[in-house]
Amino acid sequence: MASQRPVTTLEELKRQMEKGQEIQVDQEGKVHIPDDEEVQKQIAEGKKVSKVKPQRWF
Amino acid sequence: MSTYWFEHDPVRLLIENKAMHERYPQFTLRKLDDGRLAWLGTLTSNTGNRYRIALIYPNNFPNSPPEVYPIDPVIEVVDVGGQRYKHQYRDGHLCLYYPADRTFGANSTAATVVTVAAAWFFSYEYWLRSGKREWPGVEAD
Repeated sequence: MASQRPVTTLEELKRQMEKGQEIQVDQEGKVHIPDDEEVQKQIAEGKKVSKVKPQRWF
Repeated sequence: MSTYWFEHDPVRLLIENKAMHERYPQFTLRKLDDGRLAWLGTLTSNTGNRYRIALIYPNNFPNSPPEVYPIDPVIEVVDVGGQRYKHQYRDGHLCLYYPADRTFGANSTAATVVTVAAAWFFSYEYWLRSGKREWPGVEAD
């Protein structure tokens, strides 16, 4: 099964990860790119994620 | 209805984000081309070795657990014969979940999974020092 060794897959994944778009999560749980206006506005206003209730797991 | 777990469960994403920022601030959140979310960062072992890992959330998270891939260095764990993986799946992600031990609960986050991955690297280094003969802990296979 040597042909199924993961090296190629992992190296492909490494490339995908490095070029993946970095994102941030706003206080409402929405994802944004870092220079998104909404994120910058929240940072400027000093807003942080406050208490959130834990939810389920599998 | 949205396809991605983080779009229909933003509270869970907030919990994940908060836990990772508090415990592993060196990790960054990324979005892959296929839409999945992943944390990218580096762990340093007690011997000073550095391991860059990718923790990827499956699309059906949290019904399935995140997967952790060692991407730099790329790590293969094979037995003496060089064929069979131990403590690692064929696509390279680490075997972190031993079903019988029920380690993970309903509120486990990526931060917990990263911590277990750190323990995995401790075992990996132990295994290397033993001449690839002994992996500490339970054998799941």
